[in-house]
Amino acid sequence: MPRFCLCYPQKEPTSMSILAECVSPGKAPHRFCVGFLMGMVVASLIAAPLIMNGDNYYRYRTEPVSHVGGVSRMAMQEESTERSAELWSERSVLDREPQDIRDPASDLDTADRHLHRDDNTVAQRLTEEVRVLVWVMTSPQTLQSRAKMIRDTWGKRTNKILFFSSKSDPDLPAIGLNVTEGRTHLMEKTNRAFRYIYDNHMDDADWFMKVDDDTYVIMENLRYLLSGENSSEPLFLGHHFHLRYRSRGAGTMKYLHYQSGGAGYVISKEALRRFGEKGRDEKLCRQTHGAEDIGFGQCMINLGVRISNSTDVLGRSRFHCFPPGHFTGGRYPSWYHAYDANGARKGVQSMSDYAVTFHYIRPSEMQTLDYLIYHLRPYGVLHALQNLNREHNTTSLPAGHSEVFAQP
Amino acid sequence: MAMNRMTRRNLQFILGLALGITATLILTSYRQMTQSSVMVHLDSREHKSNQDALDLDEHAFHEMMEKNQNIPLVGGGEAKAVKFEDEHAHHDDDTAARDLAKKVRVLVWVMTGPQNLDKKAVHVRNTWGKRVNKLLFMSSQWNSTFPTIGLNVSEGREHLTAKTMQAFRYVYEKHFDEADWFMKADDDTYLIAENLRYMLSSYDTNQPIYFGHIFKVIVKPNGYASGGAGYILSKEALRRLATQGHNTSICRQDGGAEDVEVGKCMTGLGIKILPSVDRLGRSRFHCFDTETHLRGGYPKWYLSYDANGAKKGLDNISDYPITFHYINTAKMYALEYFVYHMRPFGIISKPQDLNLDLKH
Repeated sequence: MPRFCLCYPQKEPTSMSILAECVSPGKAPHRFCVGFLMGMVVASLIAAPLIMNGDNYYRYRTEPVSHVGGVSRMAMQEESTERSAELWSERSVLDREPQDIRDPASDLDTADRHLHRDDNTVAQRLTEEVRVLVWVMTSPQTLQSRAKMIRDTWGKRTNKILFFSSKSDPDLPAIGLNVTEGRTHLMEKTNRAFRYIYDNHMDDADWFMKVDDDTYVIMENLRYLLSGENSSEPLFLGHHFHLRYRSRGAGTMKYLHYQSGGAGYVISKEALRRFGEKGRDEKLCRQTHGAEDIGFGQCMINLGVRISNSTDVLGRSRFHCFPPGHFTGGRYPSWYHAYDANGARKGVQSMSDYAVTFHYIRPSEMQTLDYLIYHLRPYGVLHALQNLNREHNTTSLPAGHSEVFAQP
Repeated sequence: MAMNRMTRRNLQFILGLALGITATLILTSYRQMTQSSVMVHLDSREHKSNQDALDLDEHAFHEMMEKNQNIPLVGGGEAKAVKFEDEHAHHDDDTAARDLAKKVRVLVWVMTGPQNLDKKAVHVRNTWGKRVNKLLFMSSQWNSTFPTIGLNVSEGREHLTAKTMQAFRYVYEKHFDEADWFMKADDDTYLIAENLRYMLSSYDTNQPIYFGHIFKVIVKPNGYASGGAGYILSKEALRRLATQGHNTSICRQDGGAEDVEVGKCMTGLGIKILPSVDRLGRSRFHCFDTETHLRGGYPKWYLSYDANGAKKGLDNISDYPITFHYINTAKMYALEYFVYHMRPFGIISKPQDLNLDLKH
């Protein structure tokens, strides 16, 4: 022990004796001890926020064994600082005022006055032959900003679009489901929405799709995908996730299959019919609570509905639970590698040319996507129709009772 | 004696404080390190230390996305290169585009630097760079493998004017006969070459003219072209710049803002900047990215600079845009995907007549 404790020059102090000196009553506290304790306090105050963020780890649903969960450090230092520096340093001559970027999505003029001279024959024909009803899960808080933008952008291209919220809204219009808002009630909301559609709109379409109000759908590509499927069969398509879990009885590892809720999923007429007839059976379909996409996915499987492979013939994804930049940028959160049933491809073009959905799309970004997909084009390049559907589009997954269902 | 004791006591205190802080920080960072090592175990791929948002588990990730904190539409920051290898499935008919490429030859030089070759310039080369007739990278250093041309300048914003002047002179001296039009772009500009050629096909390259995103301030009487959005010179304009641009009373050789100085130089040499909007008055060169021009989140200075009224929205951007700016790596590949790959099935877009009617 170095001789830094100078108060007691007579003897060689040991660490124990120093501590003893610190804590022994009756004596004035050692300067050193006071300093040490203060140092710990100061450092803890600095380090505490770091520790707290590190422990921000949420155990989600039935904790899959292969998924350890994340350590979150909230703010990704994006290049936003670099970017604003660039933006401003370029204009070195004059003064500039700071950027004031709001998100005036509600002010956007979305009227389309263009006449493109496009040849829409094939897309038109498919609209008549492959009828899709889309229902959008929205809420009173997000109705004005998000649901409205959907209605004015890709919503116009559906055969029929319905908005479901906890409260009805005659303006949008949105149907009120009479449930409480919040993530814990999504299962109930989903069940009620599908039931409403089964009761009232069964004959209006051949396929029935659920999306969130931050999902963007390219309807032409959805119809192209579905044109290779038979709506009289019990089918279920979307961004296929599988969760590994330990089976309660045998203790073996199994997979739980479902479609990502955010990426949107679509069921055939036959699948909806089965849901309508047997979906109230608690043994087959969870009625309330839990993750909506897992619950509904299990319900479908228990009703004998098959998951169909939605990747294209080159193995590229069509439904996407992220915005496009994640896939082109090639950066996925770590849980995605465990969840994605198609191997979380990246790098060599992982997205299909006929992509169907993207998720986490903000309202103003929906306009951007509309522009990029339906307006911007390179002069002189005439796109031909590609053959991207698979030959046999159905993957057989074991139907039947799923034991994971039993947990809420 | 009393002084010594006081000083010793203070020293002890300071020593204790220092050790206390050090010990605590070591303990906390140990904790951080053990937690992140658990993360690495799951995914054996290389992770940058700043994983941040990607380290969130699905639920926390969802919460973060709902708050729209970070990942924008097309992702941000560093991205891995994307190889598009599906041309065989396209069956596109690009006869008209290929014909134009023979008739309207475009040379583009990209302003870059040694530090940006792997971060930015390489992605330009992987994406839109392939579609111009000739592509050159201008840097302050020669690099034979990339390759880049080494100009006699130092890096840095103060020397962009010199870099530009020298780059154009180099192009005039070495490549004048290889193209009909000569363009400057940044390494965060995205160029759609087909649409550039379409616009230029209406004009005569032997006229002293140039095109870009027009800013109507500072340079009188007609304004100048924004540097970031890219600008393109006719053969005659380049000839004048290279042969008469040494005159320092007309053209500043270094310093100032590059685009302003080039604009003043052009005006002094009698080179006119022509409008680049399409027949419906919609912009084709853009000094911001797609979303900014659609959404209209413009900085205040832009409102007085833009010659076209700083308009926004779907009705004010051409269907045949030529450039966008501030395109980071992820956005570059995303744009490449949307412009040349992603399409709605069953809609065949025919050529539109969008060039200005110059006869009337």
